[in-house]
Amino acid sequence: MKLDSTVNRIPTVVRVNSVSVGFPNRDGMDEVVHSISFSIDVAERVGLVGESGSGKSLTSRAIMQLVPKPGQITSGTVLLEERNISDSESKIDWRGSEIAIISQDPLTSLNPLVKIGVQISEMLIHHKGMQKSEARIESINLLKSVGLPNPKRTMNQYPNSLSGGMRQRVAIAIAISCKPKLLIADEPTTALDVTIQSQVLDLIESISTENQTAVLLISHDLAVVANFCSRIIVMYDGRIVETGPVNEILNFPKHPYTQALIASVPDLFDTSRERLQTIPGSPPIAGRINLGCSFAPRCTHASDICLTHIPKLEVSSDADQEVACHNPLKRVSS
Amino acid sequence: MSRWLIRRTAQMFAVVWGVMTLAFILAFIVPGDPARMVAGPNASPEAVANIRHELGLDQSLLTQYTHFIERLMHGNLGISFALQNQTVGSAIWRALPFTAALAIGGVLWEVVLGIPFGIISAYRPKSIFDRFSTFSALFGLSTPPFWLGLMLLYFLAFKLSIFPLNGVGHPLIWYLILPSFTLGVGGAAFYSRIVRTTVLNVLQSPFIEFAQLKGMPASLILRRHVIRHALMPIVTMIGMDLGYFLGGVLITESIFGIPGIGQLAFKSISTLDVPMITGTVLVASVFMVLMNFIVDVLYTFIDPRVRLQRNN
Repeated sequence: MKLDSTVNRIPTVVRVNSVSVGFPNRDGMDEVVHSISFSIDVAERVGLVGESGSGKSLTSRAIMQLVPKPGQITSGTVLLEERNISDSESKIDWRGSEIAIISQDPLTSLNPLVKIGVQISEMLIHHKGMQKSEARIESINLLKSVGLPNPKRTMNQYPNSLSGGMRQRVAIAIAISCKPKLLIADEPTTALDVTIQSQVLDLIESISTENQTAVLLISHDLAVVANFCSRIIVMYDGRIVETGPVNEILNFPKHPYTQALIASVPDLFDTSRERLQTIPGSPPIAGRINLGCSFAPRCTHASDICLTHIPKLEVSSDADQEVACHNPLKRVSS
Repeated sequence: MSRWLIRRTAQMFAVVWGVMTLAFILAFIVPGDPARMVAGPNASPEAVANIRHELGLDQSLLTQYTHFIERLMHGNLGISFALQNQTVGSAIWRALPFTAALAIGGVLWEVVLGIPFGIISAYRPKSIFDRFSTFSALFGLSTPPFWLGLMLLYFLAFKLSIFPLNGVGHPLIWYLILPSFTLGVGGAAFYSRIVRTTVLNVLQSPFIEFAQLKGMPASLILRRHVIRHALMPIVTMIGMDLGYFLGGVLITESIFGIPGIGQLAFKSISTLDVPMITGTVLVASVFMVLMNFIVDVLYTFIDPRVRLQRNN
C-alpha cells in the first residue's frame, strides 16, 4: 500500500494492520475502530490525536491486546518486530515488558493498598526473573531516574501519600522498568496541572532518547503533540483521517478536520479578543453505520461524494503525508 | 495513633459499663421476684423474706448497684441465685469453651464457603457457577437455623448415623461439625454476596486494568491486588460475627444440646438469676466490643489511608 516505509532504513517496532475494535450489540457488533493501520519505527515519537470518543484509547488498548470488556478486537493483526502478537496462540510475555503503557489516570492506576516498591518490583520479578533484593535495588534506581527526590523512602510509601505528579512519575518508572521498545502514553498529563505537565513530558522525552524507546503519545492537545512528536496521526470517528510529519500536518493540513482542530487551539498571545474557533456540530455516535465520510455533516468542504463514499487514506501528492478526504485542502504557499 | 488508641479504649470501657448497668436495671424492672424464684412456689413468706435478706435484695437498688460495681472491680461476678454455691464466674468459665469452639467453627464455615464462592462468582458473573452460587446464597439466607439444624440432625445424625446425635463429647470437633455448619450457613451466604460485590467492584478499577497492562499474571493480580481490597468487609464481618457468636448462640446450642453461654443466659433469665444475667451480658458485651476494637485496629493494617487519618 505504501512504499516509503520499506525505503526507510529505520526498522519498525510495531505495525498495526487493519485493526478493528467492536462492541457486541443485540444483533451483531458495533464497530468503533475501523480497520486502522499504521506503524511506529524504533525510537520514533508519534502523536495520536483526536476528540474524545474518536477511538484513540481503544487503538492503544488494541495494541496491548487488552480491549476493555465487552469490547473485542474484531479483525486485524499487530506485529511487534515481525512477531504476530495478535495471534491468540502466542505467549503474552511481551505485555508490560516490550510494550508498556502509562494509563490515562495516574491518580487511580496505582493500587492504594500496595506499597510503591512492590508495585514496581513486581514488574522486575515477573518479567526479568529477578530476586526480591535485586529487584529492590533496581526499583530504587528506577525511581531515582524518573526524578523522585527520595526513592528509598518512596519504596515504602503508599500511593496516597504522593502528589499527582509524583504518582505519574512512579507510573512512568513502572512502565519503563523493563526497557520497553514501545511506550504508549495515554493522555499522561490530563490529570496534572500545567507546570507538572511539561516536566512529565520532558521526562518521557529524555527516556525515549536515552533508551531508544518509541513513544505513542495519545492526546487531544495539539500543542503538546507538536512539541513532542515527529509524526502525527489524526483520528476521527474510529478512522485515521490524516497522518504525516508534524510540521507538514500543522502547517499544511490537508483534511478539513485537521485544519479545524488546529484552528480551535487557543493562542496565548492572541490579543484580538476574537471568539475561540470551534468545530460546528458534534462528533458522531460511535458504532453507527456510515455510508460516507463521517466528518461530512460538519465539514465546510463537503460535496456529494462525501455523503456516499467513505474516503480512503491515500498518500498525497506533494509530501510524506496521507489523507482520507475526497476534497483535500490545497497547499497554500505564502 | 496512640491518642486514637486511648480514646478508643476509653470508649470500650464506657460501652461495657453502660451495657452492664442496663442489664442490672432490667433484671429488676422485669416482673417477678428473684427471692420467690429461689425459694420456690410453696415457701412461706418468712422463708422468702429470709432469702431476700440473704441475697441482699432487701437493700435499696442503689446500694445493690454499688455493691455490684465494687465486686466487679475485683473481678468478682458474684454467686448464682439459682445454682447455689456456684460462682457466676465458674459457670461462665465452664460454658465458654463450648461456645467459643462453636463460634470459631461457625465463622470458619462462613469464611471457607463464603469467600471462594464470592470470588469465583465475581470473576465469572452470570456464569452457571454464579447462578448456582446466587441460588445457594438465597437458600442459605432464608433457611431458619432451627429448621436446618433439625433437618441435619434427623438425616445425618439419626437416619444415617454419620454424626453424633446430641450433646458434646470427645473429640469435641466431631460433635461441633453440624452445629457450626448450622450456625455459619446464613453468614456464608451473606459473605459470598458481599465478597462478590466487592471483588466485582475492584475488578473494574483502573489499578486492576493497569496491573493487567503491566503484564501481571491473573493469579498474582488476584492475590496481591484484588483480595486485599475485599479484606475490609471480610474482616468487618468476621469480627462482628465472632463477637456476636461468642456472646452465646441460643438456638444452635439448644438444638444440639451444647452447654454454652447461650443456654446459660437463657436459663438465668427464666429463673431471674440476676448475677448470672449480668454475668452473661457482661461476657457478650465484652466480646462484642473487643471484636469491634480488633477490627478497627486491623483496618489500619489493611488500608494505609485509614492509618494516615488516625495519625493526624
